[in-house]
Formats: sequence, C-alpha cells, structure tokens
Amino acid sequence: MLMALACAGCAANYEDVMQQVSQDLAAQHPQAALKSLDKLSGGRDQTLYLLNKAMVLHMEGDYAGSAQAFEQAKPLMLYLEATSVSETAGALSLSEGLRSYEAPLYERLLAHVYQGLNYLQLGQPDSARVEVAQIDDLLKRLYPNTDAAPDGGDAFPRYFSGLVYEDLGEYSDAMIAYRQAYQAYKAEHESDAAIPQDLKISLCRFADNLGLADELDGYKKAFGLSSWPPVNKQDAQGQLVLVFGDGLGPLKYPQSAVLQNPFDGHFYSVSLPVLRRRVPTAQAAEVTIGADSIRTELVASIAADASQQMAADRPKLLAAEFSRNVVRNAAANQVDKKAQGLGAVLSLVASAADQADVRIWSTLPDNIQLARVRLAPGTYNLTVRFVGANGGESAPRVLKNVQIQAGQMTFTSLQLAYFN
Amino acid sequence: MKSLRLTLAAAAATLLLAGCSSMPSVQRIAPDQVTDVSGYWNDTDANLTAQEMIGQMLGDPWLGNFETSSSGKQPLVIVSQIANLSSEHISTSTFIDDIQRELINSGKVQFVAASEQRGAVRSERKDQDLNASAGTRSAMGQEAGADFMMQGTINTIIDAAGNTSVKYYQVDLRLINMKNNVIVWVGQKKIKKVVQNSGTRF
Repeated sequence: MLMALACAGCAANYEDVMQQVSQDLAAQHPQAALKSLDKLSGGRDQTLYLLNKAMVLHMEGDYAGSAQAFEQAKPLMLYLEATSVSETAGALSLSEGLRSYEAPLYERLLAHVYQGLNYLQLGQPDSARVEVAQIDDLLKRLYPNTDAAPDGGDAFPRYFSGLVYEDLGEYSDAMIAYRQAYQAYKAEHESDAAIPQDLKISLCRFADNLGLADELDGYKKAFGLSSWPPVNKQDAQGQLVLVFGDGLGPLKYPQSAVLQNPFDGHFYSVSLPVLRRRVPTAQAAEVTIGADSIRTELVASIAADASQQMAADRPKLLAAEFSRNVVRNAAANQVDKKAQGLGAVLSLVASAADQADVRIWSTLPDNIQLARVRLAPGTYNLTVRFVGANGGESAPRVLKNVQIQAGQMTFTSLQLAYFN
Repeated sequence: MKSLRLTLAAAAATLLLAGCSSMPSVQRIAPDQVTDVSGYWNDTDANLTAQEMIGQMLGDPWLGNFETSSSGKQPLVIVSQIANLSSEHISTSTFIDDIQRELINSGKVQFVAASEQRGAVRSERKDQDLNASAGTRSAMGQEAGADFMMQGTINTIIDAAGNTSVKYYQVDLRLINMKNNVIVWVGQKKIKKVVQNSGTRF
C-alpha cells in the first residue's frame, strides 16, 4: 500500500505545473508555458497535457500545431470513456488521482470548438465542419434521447456549429444548430435574457429565410425584434466573427479534513476539490473598424460550466471517499493485529496521501465572448481594446490585414489571459 | 480480509507496471491487408472506394459515348472539390490518387493537373521562358482544357448508443461535361460498419 502511495506521488504535481503555466502566460511567455507543460506529458495526465498544449498553441497563433495536439487528444478521450478496472480499484482504495484524467463533457465539446476555430483560421472550413459534426455525434452518442448535455456546456458549441454551417451556406443545418443552441441556453438560464443577441438575430434571419413563419413569429415576440439582415448567398457584404477567450478558466484546490477515531486511533480523511474562479481582468473586447465600434457579448461561461460539472460529480466523489476510508480502516485493523498502534500510523499516512483530484483543463478561458459585424469586402486593420471591470482599457491591439470577402464569414480568434 | 490484501497488492502492482515503458512492437504487413483498429475511415475503405469507382468509371457508357462523339479522343478530366460532409477528417487524396493512377494507366482517360499543381508548372514555364534554350522551352498557352470536371462528396450517417455504433459512409463522385454542365456519370460506393467499443479497460 505504501509503495502504491509513493508511486502515486511520482507524477508531476498538476497544481504546481499549472501554477507555473499561469505565471508564464501572465508574463506573455507562451513558449515557457509549453516547456512547463512538458512535465505533464505521458501517464495519467496525457489528455490534459495535450488539451493544455493545444490551447497554449492556439493562444500563440500556432493553429496547425494546436490542431495536431487536439487530434492526438481526441482518440485518447474516446479510449478513456471505458472504465479501467485497475484505475477504479486504485481510486476506490487509495486515491482519486490514480485515475487517468477523463475530460468532462463540457471540455470535450470545447475541444471541438477550439479545433474548429483552428481549422477556420487555417482556411479549412470543411474541416471545421467535421468538428461541429463531431459535436453532434458526441452528444447523440452519449445522450441519444435528448442530444443535449444534462449538466450544460453545449449551448455555445451548438451556436458555434450554426456559425460554421452558415459559413458553408448550409442554411437548414445552421437553423437546426441555432435552434439547439437556443434550447440549451434556455435550459441553462431559464430566461431569454441570457441568450446572446447575435443568436436571437440569427434565429430570426434563418426562420425568415427558410419560410418558418410560425417559428419566426414566436422569436419576434420573444426577442422583441422586427428587422434583421437578410440571408443571402450572393450577399455583397462579408461578415467578421470575432471569438474572444477572456482570461483563464477556474482552478481546483483540495479541501481536506483528517479526523482521528478516539477509540482505535485510526485516522479518517475527506479530501474534495473546490473550484476557484480566476476573475478575468477584461470584461469585454471592443473592436473598432474605422469610425464604428462593436463590443463582444458573453456566449459561454466556462467557470459556470465547470461549477455545474463539479456539482454533478460530487456524489460520485463522496462515495469514492467513503470507500477509501473503509479500505484504509480495514487495512489498519489488520496491521493492528500484528503490531498494536501501527494501524494508526498507516491510516494517517494513507489519509495524508489521499488528496483530492484537482485536475481540470485550466488554460481554457474563464468565458467566451463573440462579436459579429457586417463589412464591405476589403482588407482591414482592426483595433481591439480590452475593457476592464472598472472601465479601464488596455493598450489597443491591432489585428492587421483581416480579409473580408463578399458573402463569406471571416473568423478571428483572440485569447487574452491577462492584461496589465 | 484476504481479498482486501489481494486487491491492494493488485492495485500496487498495476501502478508499478503502468510506470514501466517498453519499446513499440512493429510488424510489417501487406498494404492490402485489412486492418481495422478504431472503426474510423482507413486505408481499406479508401482502397475499396477507389476500386469500386475505377470499375464503374471504366465500365459505364459515358466513356464510349464520348469516344464516339469525339472521334476516338480520350476524355480529359479535372478533379475539382471532393467535399467532406462526414464527421471524420478524411483525406480524399488517397483514393482520388488511386483512381487517377488506374484510369491513366488504363490508357482510356487522361487527367489535367489540378489548379494548385498548374500554378507550380506555370511558374516553371515562366522560368523556362527566361532561362531555357529555345529548343527545350515549353511555350505558354499550350495547355489542354478539360472535357469533364469530377466533383464529389463523402457523407456519414452514424447511429450510436452506448458502446455500439453503426457507421454508414457514402461516397458519391460525378463527372460534369464542361461545355454544357450535363452530368454524364455518377459513381457511388457505400460502406457500413458496426463498431463495438469495449466498456472496460485494464
């Protein structure tokens, strides 16, 4: 048992590595962040290593490298869906950290979203389409009755799917995806207030274009909209879609308590993860094109998705904690039979080693925001300012040579870990 | 209690074994041997598609009709977009290259280089214009225009629940007459697989 516990401690400490990665990103040294991440490569954290690596490469603008890392992570996530006999035995008797990291659904969906953005940035919309088809496949396979994530996290991936289908001129599929996004936002927020304005407009545009009169009436009444840009394959204007990843996602920390049984001296422990949001320094991004400005709006709160996921996982984690305490007590009783008092030492060491699983894909942003603007065809230099919570603004960042083509959508992904 | 000790010993052994690394095992096999590992589109599917399409293209009447109407001339085909509408990243070039090779080698169909290949050739020709001797220089404006354009789609329908999924692939290719937009040939290959993923792993 002690050997196993010692082995569990062999792997690089995820918390320490990610703290270093956060510092590297704050200092705007993505190469250093990638080097820090290398300590996670291999073993039980391989999925997390690949997801974090893909995200840092995406932040750095290395979309081909990021796409490669995501493609390596995807089959691993599928493989890890199967229950491991040995890891489950280890987790139920020793420590939760002995399981390979199995990405929760919201992370898997966002992996497809960011992979889709990679392909869009690489000028491969067909490959982005494959990603959104995989979002649909994943939800259908895991939840065949509803095609929806029971703990949330599917609203923006569905919305993003609609954007990709719209870009490819597949308007029926775009409408279906926008509708699914609307349902998912409603399931998460129970009111239309939290639904992105751009999605409301998109629902009206496509219901109108596809001749869904009753549905259109419903949207008009629900959203208070009366006009919208028409859907037109021969549109003389193009569209810019800016996807802004704001800040860094939440971290998990262990919350532990060790208690001693006064009768036999054995120790019992409870160590569960708690989520801590890293409130982003920017509240929104403001894009200026000539004399016009547009501000991004919230489309996904990853901190909220992570929180919902953790609440859903809690009963399972508590049951596993109970199981570990039973095993530790039984082992301590056995040891006591041979050497009275040694069982307490064993249970103390084992309790101390039983640390909460604090792994989470933490290079994801805290939230995702989006802005869409119609522009005349041409080449633009976009000025982006990040607006702080107190109204302060960052130094402007200029996105040069953004090409807008008639009838086409240009996607730009912008990630901001911190601004000073 | 004995079973508890066994469980703990097994867990410890597993953890130690998991840390051991080993050299990869490599086995050379024939390129046409069927190797289904994950259930995704693979080389076998690409080969099956290429063989089916080649058979259909060479056997269907469009070829004879064109030869008759053009005094025995071989049709010139250009490959356009093969749209991937599936939920897998599929490299269409693997089976398109196979189809091209077989058709060219049959001596019945010729292909015009695709637009990205033509760019490189034109740049070389431009370079020849400046640097090659007059006798070896390839003149500009002598390119052959295609008679037909090949377009296509790959689609998948996936029905999945739990650990079982049924994957249905449909590859459609069509040849369009460049002069009048008439579709002269449509080829189709369907592939269906049942994939059973294990619910447990060691």
